[in-house]
Amino acid sequence: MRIKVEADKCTGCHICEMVCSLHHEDVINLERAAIRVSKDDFGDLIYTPMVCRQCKKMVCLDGHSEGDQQEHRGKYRWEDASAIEKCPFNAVFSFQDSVVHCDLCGGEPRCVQYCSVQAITVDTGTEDAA
Amino acid sequence: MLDRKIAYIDLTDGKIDYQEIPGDLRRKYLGGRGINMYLLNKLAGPDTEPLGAENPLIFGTGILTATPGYGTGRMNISARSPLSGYLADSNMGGDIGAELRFAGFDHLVVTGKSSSPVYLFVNDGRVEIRDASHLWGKDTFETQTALQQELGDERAKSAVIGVAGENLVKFAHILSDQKSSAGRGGLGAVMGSKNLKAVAARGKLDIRVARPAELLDHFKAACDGLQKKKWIQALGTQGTPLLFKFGNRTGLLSVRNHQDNGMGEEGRVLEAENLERYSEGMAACFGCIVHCRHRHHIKEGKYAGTRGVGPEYGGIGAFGANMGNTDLESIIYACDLCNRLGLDLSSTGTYIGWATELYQRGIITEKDVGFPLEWGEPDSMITLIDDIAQRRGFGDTLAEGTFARDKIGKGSEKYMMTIKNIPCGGTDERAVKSFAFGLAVATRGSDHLRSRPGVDLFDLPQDFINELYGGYVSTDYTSYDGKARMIWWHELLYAVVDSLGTCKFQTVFNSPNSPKWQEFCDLLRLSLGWDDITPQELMDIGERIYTTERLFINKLGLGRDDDTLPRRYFDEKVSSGLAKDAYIDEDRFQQMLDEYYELHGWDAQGAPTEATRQRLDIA
Repeated sequence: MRIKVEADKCTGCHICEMVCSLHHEDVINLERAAIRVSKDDFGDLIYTPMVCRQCKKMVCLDGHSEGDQQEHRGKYRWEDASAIEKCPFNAVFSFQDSVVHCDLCGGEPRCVQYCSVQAITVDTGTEDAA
Repeated sequence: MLDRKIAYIDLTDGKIDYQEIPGDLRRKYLGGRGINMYLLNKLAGPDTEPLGAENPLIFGTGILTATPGYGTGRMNISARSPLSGYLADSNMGGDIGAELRFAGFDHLVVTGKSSSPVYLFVNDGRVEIRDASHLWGKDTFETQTALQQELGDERAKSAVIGVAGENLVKFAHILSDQKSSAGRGGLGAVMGSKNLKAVAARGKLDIRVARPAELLDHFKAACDGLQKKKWIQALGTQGTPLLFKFGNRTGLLSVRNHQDNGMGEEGRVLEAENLERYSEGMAACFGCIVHCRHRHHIKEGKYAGTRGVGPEYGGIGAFGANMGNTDLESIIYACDLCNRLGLDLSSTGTYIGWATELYQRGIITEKDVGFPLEWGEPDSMITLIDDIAQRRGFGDTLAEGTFARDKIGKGSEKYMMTIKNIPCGGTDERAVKSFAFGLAVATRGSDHLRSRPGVDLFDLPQDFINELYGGYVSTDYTSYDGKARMIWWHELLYAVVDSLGTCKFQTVFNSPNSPKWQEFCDLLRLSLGWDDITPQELMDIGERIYTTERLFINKLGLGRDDDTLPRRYFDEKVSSGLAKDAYIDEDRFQQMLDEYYELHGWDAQGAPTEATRQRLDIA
């Protein structure tokens, strides 16, 4: 399971980010969100939701044991900021000293539920991104 | 959430003072427009020169901006207006309001004048004054891009002026992203007069809410309900241009500076369906599910490469109908050009339309303008837009806005369509009495956003309307009966909406069943923990805000005589559409004024009474 992104549908409202931080941390702070909308406001006007692709092999935890990777797969926050640099999709983020990573809200991603234009949807296929 | 602060910034001496927002002030004025009006009324008066260092330029985010609600990307910017001489207060969307809140501030009060160009960087509880010499002369898009590069962060948002603001064009706007603007009243000129090129914000501070889980559930239910509404679906597909077809058919347009009120078959090329070929999807302000803005791209022809956000119904009115212009691509281009140069496009269209009528009547000639000024000629219109922003040639005269009538003289003021010195834009409201009356009494001058009761056009059941407005209001849009009550009620509602930081498209503007008093109380309970707030208290807050505005314009010299419409509304009947022969009856208009003042608790001259001030606890 992963979140599928269709950037051409995104309107750039940031509701996914707002809802993510409120659900996980009880506060509104887009910096705590595990999904971020990258906005090209002065170029092609494309808004792109960036979120973890749930890679089978977690490149962000390269060098860690497989067990360690499995343990982190469903984690929303952990320390060790090096993960951010390693993600080839720029889809894990930092907040203060920790990594913020999409945990799929335990199987019911809130961001997807609140997206009014289906720019993000749940992909339950078994295909993994990488 | 109530920990956000006010920063008082003096650009003359560089001093910055941070202050808490007192809890009782919050409960009396909420935030956004409400607290802006409280501050403006306290800090400015008859001795405040609009372009003088002392004029406070006040930025204010709503008390619910950046939270789950009804389109919470809104904020207000306010000052004494250089365009009218009275009140400038403009509500804008985009992401900048939310970013200011994440950076720790709800209000910025900027006074003084810097000796050289500067910008403000608002970041996590601090405000810095930074050099902007390298940004001076850049257009609004270039300025914002340069700021993102300089700050090394594409998520930094800014509100900026273009060359029009630098050149103190009286109707210069303040812009954020490609489209969100504090458009009316010349706030960009106020910013320019302070040598302030931009306010950039980047914030990473938490916004705490009272009941996070309940708020999320409430928001989900609200979004699900709203998304089923047909009008939300229509706005989210066509944007405000969908109004053009109705406006043209009914006769609610200003055509050739209000000489006509419809374009007939010829105007159908400006209907919303014809925009679709340029649209590459819709865009939303922060926190909004309606997404009413087109992202457009003109790929071929004379205006190939034009890329931006919009246009709105107002822009199509201003550069289409008002200019007798049916070239849609030129209208899109003109709107973008205004946004780049830093001009309020609605005012720009009004003044160019006025000049074109003066040309038609021989009051000005090619010798005055430098080139012919004909209806339906986009080239001269576009040249003039640039000339206004650069204050070049005849553009320098038009850059004075309403006061250009003093420079031109020769009876030109007769054709100037303004209310309290604010231009009327691209629509004509003679057919709909409530709309016309709302413009006449609006505190900032000609302004549909102070009270527009869109629902007046829907011929709703009488009992339902009476209950909604708490008294009799005729369901016939051509009737004057009860329309003073209707406008009063919407004024209170929109004063609250602008202070919450929510969007008017998600309240009783286009649909009577949209969120209003009770729904706003629910949000305040879940977000702020204001468990005892009631619809009546919110209405009183609306009345307090509106009456504070009224006290401000009263002390600047406005009164009953200024609550009026351009003479054309009374003297000339409209000639097109279903509204044919409509005009405003002056006696009925005066009766409406009496009813309206009484509802507000103001005297016969439109001044709030002592009893009203005491009831509302306005110092």
